[in-house]
Amino acid sequence: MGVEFRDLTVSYDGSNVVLEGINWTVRKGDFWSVIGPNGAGKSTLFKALLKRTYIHGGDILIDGNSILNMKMHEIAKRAGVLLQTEIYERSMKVKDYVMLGRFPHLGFYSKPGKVDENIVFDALQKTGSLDLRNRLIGELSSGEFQRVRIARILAQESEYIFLDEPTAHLDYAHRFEVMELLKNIGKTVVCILHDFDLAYRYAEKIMVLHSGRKVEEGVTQIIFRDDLFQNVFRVRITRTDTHINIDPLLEG
Amino acid sequence: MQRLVVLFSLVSLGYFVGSFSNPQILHLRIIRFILAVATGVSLSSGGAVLQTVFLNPLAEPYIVGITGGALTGYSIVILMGFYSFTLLSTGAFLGAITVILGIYAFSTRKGVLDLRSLLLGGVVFNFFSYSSVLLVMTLKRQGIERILYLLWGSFGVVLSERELVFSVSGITIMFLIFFIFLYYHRAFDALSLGEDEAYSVGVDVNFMRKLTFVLTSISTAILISIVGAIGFVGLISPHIAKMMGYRNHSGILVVSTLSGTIILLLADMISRYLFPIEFPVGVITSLIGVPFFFYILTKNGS
Repeated sequence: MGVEFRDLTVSYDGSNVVLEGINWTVRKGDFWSVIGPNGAGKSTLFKALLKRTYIHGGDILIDGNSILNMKMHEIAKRAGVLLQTEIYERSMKVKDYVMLGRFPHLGFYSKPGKVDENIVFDALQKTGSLDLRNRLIGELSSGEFQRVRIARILAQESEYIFLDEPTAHLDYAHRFEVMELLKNIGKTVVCILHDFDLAYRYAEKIMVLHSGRKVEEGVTQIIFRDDLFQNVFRVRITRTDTHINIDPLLEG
Repeated sequence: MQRLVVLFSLVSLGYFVGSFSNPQILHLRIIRFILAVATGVSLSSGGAVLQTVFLNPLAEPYIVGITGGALTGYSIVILMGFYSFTLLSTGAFLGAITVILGIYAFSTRKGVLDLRSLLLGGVVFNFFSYSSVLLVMTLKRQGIERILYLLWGSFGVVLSERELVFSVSGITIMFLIFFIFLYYHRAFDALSLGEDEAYSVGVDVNFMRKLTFVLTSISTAILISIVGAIGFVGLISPHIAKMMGYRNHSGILVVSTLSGTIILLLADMISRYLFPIEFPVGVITSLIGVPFFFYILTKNGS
């Protein structure tokens, strides 16, 4: 059981390849972080899961089923993907927004029942967003909104959760709050993180992307090596048991 | 909602005042009433879903070149020397559908509908069609009045029995399309947040875009071929629904349709009663719609 990227090669326009030959498996219960420099193809990897790229070769299997044979709502039931995005309709109530997480289960017309309302209630409670339920999403702070988005994914009841920079634009207290939340929600979590310190503290495993290719994957302690970071990110790292320090790579 | 239903009932009742004693007038009035309701349903629901899919508050059913196509088809029929309702309507419908298909093909790349190309293609084609219509108006001056009514719309069409069957079939399709939009209301809710969020909750965004474009196009093409192009209602009525506090598309679709129909019925009454000659109803909707729109914008802003 898991999400398997099998020799995946994709592009946005059908010609310029953005990701090439990605082989990577996320197993149930894992907590992964995907790291890589800007333009490495991290967000594209997540978009490929939502069938938003052209697949030139390979496949993505969710619990053994190819996404090519799955409808969008079937993918959403198994894998919840939160991309970094601009929200257009900001006057939707938080509880209605979280209820949209029930869309893959309800379909187009069935009305949400008591079961759905309970699931939304639980999701709001788990994320500490219950008191926000009657607010409009446009009124929330960045930290509150990120919690509410995670509540929406929880309401979706998908086993695998993929989040593109869930801590972007948050202050340090809220970054830790969100990461603690993700660590304790009891799901398989994959986060794209630019903050190495957070990746080091929270992720059990790391996958490194560079120029559209997977450079390395493995247990966090093994991946955080100075030579790898010098080559891929052009920074030097020094680490302790709990955190890492990052310094610029001085050349010449 | 309840207030709106009461207002709709009152306006509908007022619409028939003076016609109950004369069966012929009543018959004509019923046809006008049905045309106004169908127009409200088509334009308001079309405007609501297009604004959501384009994520653009200025989108309306005429934005994607449909009017241009209908006008061109209509003008060609006039140029050929035909003036019958059926031929002109068929010409308008075929013109609209041809342009829609052309713009659709132009905007689709590798099976994905590109909204920017769609919008640009529509706007550019409308310029072309207005120029060609002016050319026809210059060459065939006897067709000017017909073209003006197509440009601004009118419910005052006198229909023979055969034309009535043609129109009723068209109106049935327009209502059917409204119910299809209502069926997909939850997908439109997700789309209103943006395509990333819609994909994330399992909406097939590309399918929804195609569906919305094709269905609004068919509905508007039918509408133009029967009553002409009536501006502003498709733009304003979804905003009225949102300003009344409706956020979910089940509410937005129903309330914008009701408010659009009320505006059209009032505009038609004004066009018949307030002036010595009957004005195209689209002139009135724009004349009352623009100040009203500014009023609610100001009120909302404050």
